Amino acid sequence: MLKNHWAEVLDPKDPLVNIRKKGWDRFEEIGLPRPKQEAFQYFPLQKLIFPKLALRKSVDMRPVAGLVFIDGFFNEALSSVPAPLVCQPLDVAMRSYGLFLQNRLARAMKEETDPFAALNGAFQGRGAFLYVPPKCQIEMPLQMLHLFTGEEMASPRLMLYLGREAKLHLVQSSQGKGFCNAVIDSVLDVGAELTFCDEGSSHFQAFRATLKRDSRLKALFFPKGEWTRHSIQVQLAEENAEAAIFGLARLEGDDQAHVHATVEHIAPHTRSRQHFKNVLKEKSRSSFEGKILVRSEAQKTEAYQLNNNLLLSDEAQANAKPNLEIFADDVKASHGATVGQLDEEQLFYLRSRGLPLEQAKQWLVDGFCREILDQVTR
Amino acid sequence: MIEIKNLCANIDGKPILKGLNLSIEKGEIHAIMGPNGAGKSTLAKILAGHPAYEVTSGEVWFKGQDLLDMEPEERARAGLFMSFQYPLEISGVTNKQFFQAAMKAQGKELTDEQLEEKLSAMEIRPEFMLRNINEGFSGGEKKRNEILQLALFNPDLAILDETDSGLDIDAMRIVAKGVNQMRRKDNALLIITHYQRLLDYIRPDFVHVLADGQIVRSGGPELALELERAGYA
Repeated sequence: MLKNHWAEVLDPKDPLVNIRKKGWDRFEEIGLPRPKQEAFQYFPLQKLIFPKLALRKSVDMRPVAGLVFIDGFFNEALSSVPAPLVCQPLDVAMRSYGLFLQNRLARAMKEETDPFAALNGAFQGRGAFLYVPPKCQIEMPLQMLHLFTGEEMASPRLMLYLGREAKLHLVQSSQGKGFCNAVIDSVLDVGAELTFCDEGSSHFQAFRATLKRDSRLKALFFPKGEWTRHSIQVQLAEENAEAAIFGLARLEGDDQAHVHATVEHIAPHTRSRQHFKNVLKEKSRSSFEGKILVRSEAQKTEAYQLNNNLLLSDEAQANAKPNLEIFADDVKASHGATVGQLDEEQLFYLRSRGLPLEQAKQWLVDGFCREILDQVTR
Repeated sequence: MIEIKNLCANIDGKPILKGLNLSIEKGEIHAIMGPNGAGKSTLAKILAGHPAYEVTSGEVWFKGQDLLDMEPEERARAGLFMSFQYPLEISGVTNKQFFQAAMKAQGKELTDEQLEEKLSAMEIRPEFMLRNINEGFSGGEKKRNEILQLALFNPDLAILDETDSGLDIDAMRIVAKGVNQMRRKDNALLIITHYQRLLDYIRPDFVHVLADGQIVRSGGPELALELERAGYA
């Protein structure tokens, strides 16, 4: 079935056709996840039914300040970015920024380990390239809005490049319900600073980032919808790069949220922090598989990883698998995971002052979430 | 005010209270003393409604209501207050928000003037109100924060569970002042303590000795002094 989809998008006139082919080949090498495969151990593979590929549609709406994707296709007419930012459809950008994009895309297709990110490489609708010129510091958050008109499969892709000492705050959100397999691929040049906040409802969201010297990434993920899987890979490629990655999922009913995060320390004096929290009500489920990989050259690395789960029902389930792989010898690293319930003593304390049980519970849940939410504004 | 009749209670199936009787009238101050493990804190927690304790038999009547039939929040709204031996830290909510919500839940109003007045009486710096509940408070500050709540809520029956533990002399004096200020002709106080020293500052009308889940002796304030000299044996 995916093969039929693949045949549909093979247009020899498409400037991205070679990239697509590489993406498809990579996808075929990796293959769809099999039951019991480690990276998808807790993922509900039975939910994986691929709908038809979405086609480019026109919608009647006013232009938006920011980037607009409709069913995964970048809509240039509806999008606007403040000068001197450059935002172009990926096929157009392949001409003007070909050197960077060809290299980055070819490498991404070659090295991708996540089948869905590879599949996005093959199926991507016309994605976008966003370029923030050196020293350009945009303080106002830039919106990246996805609109889904139906239940077809959308494959949006954003290639992002922050020049030297550039600064950007990007917020992703979505409207409508579609089957979405999204990729955001970013490069932070020397001293650049990216804040990325994901409030979208993609089923599959891959986030890739390569950080050069002195650059800083802060990424926040707030999964929404019935089921989501985030695949996050961050490379601290040069000295003094720093990444902070946060996540918070509030789940109820049959909701599921799965996170697969890898932070790779390649260069010395790099720092990373991962903190993911889940609140699980009713029959919801979550999984966290995080890895800190410290290469042998990456001395003086500082790397932390934490996953906290709050279970509010006997039927909810949280799985956590924090991993450390360290090949350097002068490293500060820690990882941990907790699965717990509301603290009975704290509940009793609040109730003993007259607060109703429900309010007391809500306060404790809010307190649990606050640590992550506070990161949004900082 | 409160009448405890033949109260028996377990935790994790282990009997802690074994037929406790105690009656406190309006205007009275009672102190319960006793060795560690006698069941003093258990009694305080059961009266406040801690869900981990199982009452196996007995009755507790508070202002004519069946206390054991009430949720912890209903007991607070009915005018019962317990000062915790180990006040909890709770993140995400400030002390001020906490006091406002608690006062509202108890059908009372909290004005800024009232809060300021009580803060200064308890010698708590106003900026503490903007911190999360009990977070970053020292042991003594937590206890003062409990007595501040006592002063704000103005309950009919206050139970002080080991409020003096961990307090230095200055903090003890402040706490005792706060407690003495809330005294009225129509309210009552139950002080649970291991040591006699708090009773130098807050003079009880009656002193009881709790041992092995029962009140084994009762007397006037002189009993506390005798216990201090001779011990519980």
